[in-house]
Amino acid sequence: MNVNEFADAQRSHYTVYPTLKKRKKGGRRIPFVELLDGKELTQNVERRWELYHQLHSHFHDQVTNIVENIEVDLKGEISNILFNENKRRDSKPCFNTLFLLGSDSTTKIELPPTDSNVFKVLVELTPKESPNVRMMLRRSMFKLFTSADAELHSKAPVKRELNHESVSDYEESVEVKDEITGEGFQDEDDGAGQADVSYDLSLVENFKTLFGKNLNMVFNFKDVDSINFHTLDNFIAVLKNALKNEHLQINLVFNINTNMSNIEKNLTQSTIRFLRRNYHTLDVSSNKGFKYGNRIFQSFLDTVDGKLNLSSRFVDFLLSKMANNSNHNLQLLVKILDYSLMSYFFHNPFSVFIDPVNIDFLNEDYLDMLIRCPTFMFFVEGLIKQNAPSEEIRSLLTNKDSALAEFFAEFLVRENPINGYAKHVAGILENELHIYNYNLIELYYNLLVGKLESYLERWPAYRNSEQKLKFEPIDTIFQELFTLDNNNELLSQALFPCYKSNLENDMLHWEHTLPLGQSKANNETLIKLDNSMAPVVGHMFKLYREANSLINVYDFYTTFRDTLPKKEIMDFLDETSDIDSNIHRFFLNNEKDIVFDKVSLALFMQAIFDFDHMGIIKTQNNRNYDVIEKCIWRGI
Amino acid sequence: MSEVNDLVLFRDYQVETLSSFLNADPNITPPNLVIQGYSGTGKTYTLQQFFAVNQFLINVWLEPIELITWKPFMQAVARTVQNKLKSTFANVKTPDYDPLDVEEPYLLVKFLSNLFENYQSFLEDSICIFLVCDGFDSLQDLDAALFHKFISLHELIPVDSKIQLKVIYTIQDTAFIERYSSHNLPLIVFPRYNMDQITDILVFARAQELIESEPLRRKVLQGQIDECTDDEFLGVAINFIKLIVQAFHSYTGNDISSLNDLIDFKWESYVNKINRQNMFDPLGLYRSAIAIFLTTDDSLNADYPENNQSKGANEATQTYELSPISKYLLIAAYICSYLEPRYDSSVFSRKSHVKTGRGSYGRRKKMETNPRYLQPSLFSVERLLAVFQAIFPVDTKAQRGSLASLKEDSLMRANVEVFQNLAELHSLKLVATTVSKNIDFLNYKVKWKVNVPWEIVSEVSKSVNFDVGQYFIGDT
Repeated sequence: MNVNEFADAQRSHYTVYPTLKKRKKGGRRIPFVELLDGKELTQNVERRWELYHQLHSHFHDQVTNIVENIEVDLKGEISNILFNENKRRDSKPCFNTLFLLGSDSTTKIELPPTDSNVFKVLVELTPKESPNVRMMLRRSMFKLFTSADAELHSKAPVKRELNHESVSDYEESVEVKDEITGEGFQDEDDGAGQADVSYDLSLVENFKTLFGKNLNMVFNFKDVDSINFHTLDNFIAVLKNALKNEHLQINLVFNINTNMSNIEKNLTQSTIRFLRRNYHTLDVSSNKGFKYGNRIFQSFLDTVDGKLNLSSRFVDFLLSKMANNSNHNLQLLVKILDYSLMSYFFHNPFSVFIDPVNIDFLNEDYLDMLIRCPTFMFFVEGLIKQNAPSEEIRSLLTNKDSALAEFFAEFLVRENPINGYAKHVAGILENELHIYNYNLIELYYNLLVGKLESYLERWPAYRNSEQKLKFEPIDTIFQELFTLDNNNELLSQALFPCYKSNLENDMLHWEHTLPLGQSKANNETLIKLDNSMAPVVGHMFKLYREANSLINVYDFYTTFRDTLPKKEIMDFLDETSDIDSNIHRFFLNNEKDIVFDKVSLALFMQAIFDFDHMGIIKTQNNRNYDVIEKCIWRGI
Repeated sequence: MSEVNDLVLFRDYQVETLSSFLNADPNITPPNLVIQGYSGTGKTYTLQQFFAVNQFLINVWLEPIELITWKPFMQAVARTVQNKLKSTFANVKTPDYDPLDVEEPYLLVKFLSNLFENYQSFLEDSICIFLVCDGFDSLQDLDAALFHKFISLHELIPVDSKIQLKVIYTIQDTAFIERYSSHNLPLIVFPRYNMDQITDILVFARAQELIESEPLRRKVLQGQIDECTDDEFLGVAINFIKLIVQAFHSYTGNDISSLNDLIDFKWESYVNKINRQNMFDPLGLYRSAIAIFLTTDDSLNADYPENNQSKGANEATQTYELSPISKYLLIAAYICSYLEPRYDSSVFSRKSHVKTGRGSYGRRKKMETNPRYLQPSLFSVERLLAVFQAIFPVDTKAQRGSLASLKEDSLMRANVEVFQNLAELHSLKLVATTVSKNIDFLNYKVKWKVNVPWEIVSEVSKSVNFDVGQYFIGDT
């Protein structure tokens, strides 16, 4: 046995990549099929495909834009807080503190371009780099020094003019010291005594004399929750001391992935009070708030505007699924919208009429479905009630003089006002009432069900402009043909499958999956056998369901054997033995009862091992081979 | 000394003692002087004022808290003393020594002796140089030996040196000083202020500043409060300070700095309550601003969750940063960990009538300890999902008994969402598994346990209106 095989044999699990069957080329280019019982024109199938593609790519262009902007927005916001904040004219010096909530510490902080008066430096401290105050201070001073030094060297000519003597002195000493100390730190001390620096706060203190610039330090504490809080507290206390220098401004950025109260609990009260003098909190996880979700939904509405409607059931589905997934909210939203759009175009023959030009292709096949539209029937009912001329109604129903076709075409160009109105409401909320934390999807849902007021009532500001936002949802005829819906649970099934209950259902109701009575075998006995017995796993699963959580194997086997349709199996074996010599020999060597015993045992073992692989029984768990343990609860 | 007394309140005795200890003549000045007092007792301020008034005393300041360990501390001592001497006697040409050479305590002695030696011939009378170590015990890596080294420093420097280094230590902790009590160091104690003194000091230090502050100025311009004299403004500020001290003294104790912070935080909102009417009516002003004095407001959370009340209770979105499914999973995990599996059938099954009472789970012995105090026990993921299914409320939209209700599931199924949420709980470390690496999560061999205490679970369950307590009543 070679080494690789041996290593493979030791593995607890394997990953198998099935080889994909190559699609037959040349046959079909598109995955859509002809609808209307196959009577749809190929041309129209292609048109549907094209239309779907247009909408899909348009939507995805915008989504990519929005997602890219999330990061840009965030960076802008952070540097706005850190650098553009008007300094409070508070007489007391204080940190400028920024708490990034829900941060995974990957948020980069960008320093604005250098200016001639202020030197900005970013010091990042991870929990590993912060075992104690001494190391934290050393690391940050080292960072400060090297970056200041780098800048100084790149602009040496300018600096030299300004501060010729001290700079050159200082450089010399640095170069010498660099070799001597070897601590990764440069300490220097020039003759004039004005630039005495070591790896402590005196570097900060003398920064102005050394480099001739004010200093703006940004401390980015990564993964704050993992830094020892006592150390952090002491470090802040040390930094606090440095604030007495007027040329210095210190920004503290805390990446927090728990919550504020955790921070508050762990830092001392005096530190908290000190931080509180000037602090901001920013929620950086893109799922927080509804801003980006709203934008994506809005762009979807814009994409399908004037073409498709969304049913309230569908929007409700969106809402509930998004609520169940707090981390990948946006991805989920995009996925659901995508899928619904795709399935709509896949199964609805009328989707071709989204482009009104295609009205020319409207023929008898479509009209048949058109008449059965609930909204249309409702409309006709209304006509009857109003005693409209029966001629007119009849011509509508029978499409005499293509009345129905014209009627339909007329409605194609009508717009459902709801998309536009949702936008209108959102605009008012943002621009006039300055409400930003609304959920556009929820708002849309409430618009659809006509309960906009109850949604908006939570903001007191709304009550003043109540009148402006009155809205009555209206039904448009034929709208169900152009609505994204989740009416047959297709979306929930496809996007959120229940692994195990699907498996169980298939085993219990195998006839749903396997064709019953359509067996292609022309063998009489085989058909009989097929009809009398479920697939072995299905048959066994029924027994399994009845059992207690611990099953005695022998009992299980006897029950299994006794419930098998003995006669059909024996008939089948009899018949096959004529063809298969192995079975024939098997028959010759054994009694009839023993044959059946052996066959059922083989089937039993097969089913047990299948169950084992499915993970619904535990075998060999307690070295007791008499029993097998169930590990499944029905419907979970 | 009366000058200093004017600047420093309630420290007459201490200032007097200081001035008798600290003298320009090194012969009558002790080499070490310890000043003890807790934070906010005016040690630093008094010393600063003392040296400001007595400018002829050469003094240098060090803050050990910035220096972290003893080595930079000693280097800083060498550096500051050398720099100070150089700037004081600028006309004397002396060689420079590198303070960074001071890597051992004896090198500090050598450094200082060499340094002082250079001035020996230039000085006629011997002089004192005072080194103030402000907050000696705030040095991060303080050990017991360091203070010994410093208080015996003067013994190692030549006695006939014209320059004598006198060190003043301010120290907060009495226990620290007691350790060195056998050395008979001169000690000045700064006792804590009492409440009246604090009020006076705060009024003295802050009142003027508050009057000149921006918010008040703005308010006065806005509200056209023009018929007010300076004294009346002063009255408002003094009144405010007194109110703060009275309201929060029981919370802060005699800690001036926290009272100072509270004054800073609350002044602006207090000013906002001022109008023409209550300007001269302290009681009315107090009444309208009563909310300020009821809470300390010194938490960062105080003004953070402003969006809380805007969220409707029925909203399905996150309240605890977890989705409802996650919350129920967490509760189910807690139940699995702390409730014995043999009770499951009686607690969760709707067919409990099949077997009720002791018969269903055997004779029940009362637990001796509340299981909540014990380690969480392990459970399999299937049990978790079963409990989850039992407790998760599914709101059926169709009416009971109608045809449509047949289509709807009455129970929550474990679909991908449930597993996603379980994975999320695991990555948040709210639930844990027995194996940590390469887990096949759905394998029945993997055992799970809950990783949060009762408090969090009860908080979570409250947020979804689920009474998890009822499952644990029997066990207590």
